[in-house]
Amino acid sequence: MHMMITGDKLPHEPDVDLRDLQQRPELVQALLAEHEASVRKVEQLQPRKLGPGLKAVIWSLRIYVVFMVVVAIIQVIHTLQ
Amino acid sequence: MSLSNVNRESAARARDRLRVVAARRSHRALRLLWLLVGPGILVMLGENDAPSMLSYAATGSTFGVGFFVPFILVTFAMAFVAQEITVRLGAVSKAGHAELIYRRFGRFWGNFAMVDLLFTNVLTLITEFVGVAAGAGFFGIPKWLSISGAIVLIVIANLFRRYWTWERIVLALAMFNLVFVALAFWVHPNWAAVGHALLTFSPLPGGWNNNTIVILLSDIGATITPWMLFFQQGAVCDKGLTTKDLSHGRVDTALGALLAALAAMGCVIATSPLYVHHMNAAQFGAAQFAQALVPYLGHIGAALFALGILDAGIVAASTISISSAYAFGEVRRQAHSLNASFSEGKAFYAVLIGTLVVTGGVVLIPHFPLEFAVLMVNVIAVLTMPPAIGFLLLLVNDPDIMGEYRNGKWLNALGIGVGGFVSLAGLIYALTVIFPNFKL
Repeated sequence: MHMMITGDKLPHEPDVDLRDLQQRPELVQALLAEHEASVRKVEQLQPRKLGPGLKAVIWSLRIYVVFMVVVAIIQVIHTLQ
Repeated sequence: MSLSNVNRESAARARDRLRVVAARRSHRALRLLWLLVGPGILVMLGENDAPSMLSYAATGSTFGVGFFVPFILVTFAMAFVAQEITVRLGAVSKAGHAELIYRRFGRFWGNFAMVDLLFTNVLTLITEFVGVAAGAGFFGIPKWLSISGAIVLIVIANLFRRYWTWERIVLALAMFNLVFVALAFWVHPNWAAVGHALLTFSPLPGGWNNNTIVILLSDIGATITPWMLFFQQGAVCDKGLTTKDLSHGRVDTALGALLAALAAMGCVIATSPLYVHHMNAAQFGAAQFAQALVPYLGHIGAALFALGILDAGIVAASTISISSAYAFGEVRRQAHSLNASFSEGKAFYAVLIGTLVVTGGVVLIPHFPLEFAVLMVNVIAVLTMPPAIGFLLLLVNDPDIMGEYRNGKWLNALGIGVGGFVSLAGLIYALTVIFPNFKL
């Protein structure tokens, strides 16, 4: 089993070839440790419960967009005519 | 990612992180800044796209140097408030904007957000190619050649399959946007009038009327649009920024806002001689603007103006098509990275190139109502922003996603202020359309 390299134990290499990196999974894992942890956390997220107030806000913003798009189309048709 | 299997995307991102770690360890501040800037500058200069620059040109030629010069600074300050949130969301969650909306609000609301994004992106991409064709038209280059040339250039930048390489190529192209700053000096403006306008937000010739409202909305739409949220959050993830990089992400975004504001104000000032000489050029196309500016800028200056519009179209077409591809990949839970190999990211690259080809092709259709798209694009972008800002604020206040990085009360006040301002501008616009005699 590979040892995980973390934090200040990362090697002092300013640059490593892409192919070399693909052969060094432990180094890639160390460099992307925070990334992997965040991805795992996001994958566990469930849809949040929307209360009536929040639902009302989101619905009104949606109605706003539909209404405004209709208004913009009317304006452009008038302009083009 | 298992230890036995490192894909190209992970290896490429790890390589970028290794450079950042080395620069941070050796305390090379400038090297670190160079490595970490990108998404912020690209999103802001990308938003100074062909229709935006044409909107600023119409502003300069219709109102001269006055209210709209400092107003541009205000709109970019608002854009900074919104885009800084995407930097935090991306660096903390490492997930794109579309993915977070779908995960936290479900498919129903996610689909609405996607329809807004798709609609505005398609419309905007069409106008980018209109700008490319118009800019190239100044040099007598036929439409089919300029559009296919632009698509080939954008695709070549993606062929490297490296986010870093793509970012540097497009950054170099985006810097040409600053040509509008040079053109502002070229027309020898009255700097005292510029200073007066910056300090007093005046004059506003003609006062507040329906035309002023449309230009105002168009200039807001030239700085704040839905694709910017999806692009920057996706680019922050693709670049691999972490929570340690947040301050650099903010500097990157602020720098982008400053450069873009300077270029936008430069465009208004460069086209202000048309106002001074009473040329109502509000409906000019890019090539016509360039032609009209020949007496004030000379042929070289006018050619640079046309090149600036062409370049703005190419940069924006690249960033906007990538925002669509990021969102598509996030929603479909498929590879969505410019570091992915073609086999890993088949659908991602197909969406990216497909949207370019389709929207570029639309511009070549004879008698297609291009004026419709050009007139609509910035206005529609503003009108679809309130729900986008709503979801942005809900996500950044979500403790399950953001933890200690969620918004404080002052940041929330600023975010709500931006959303309120954009919504109010839209409502006033609606009133002027429904009640043509409406006066502020």
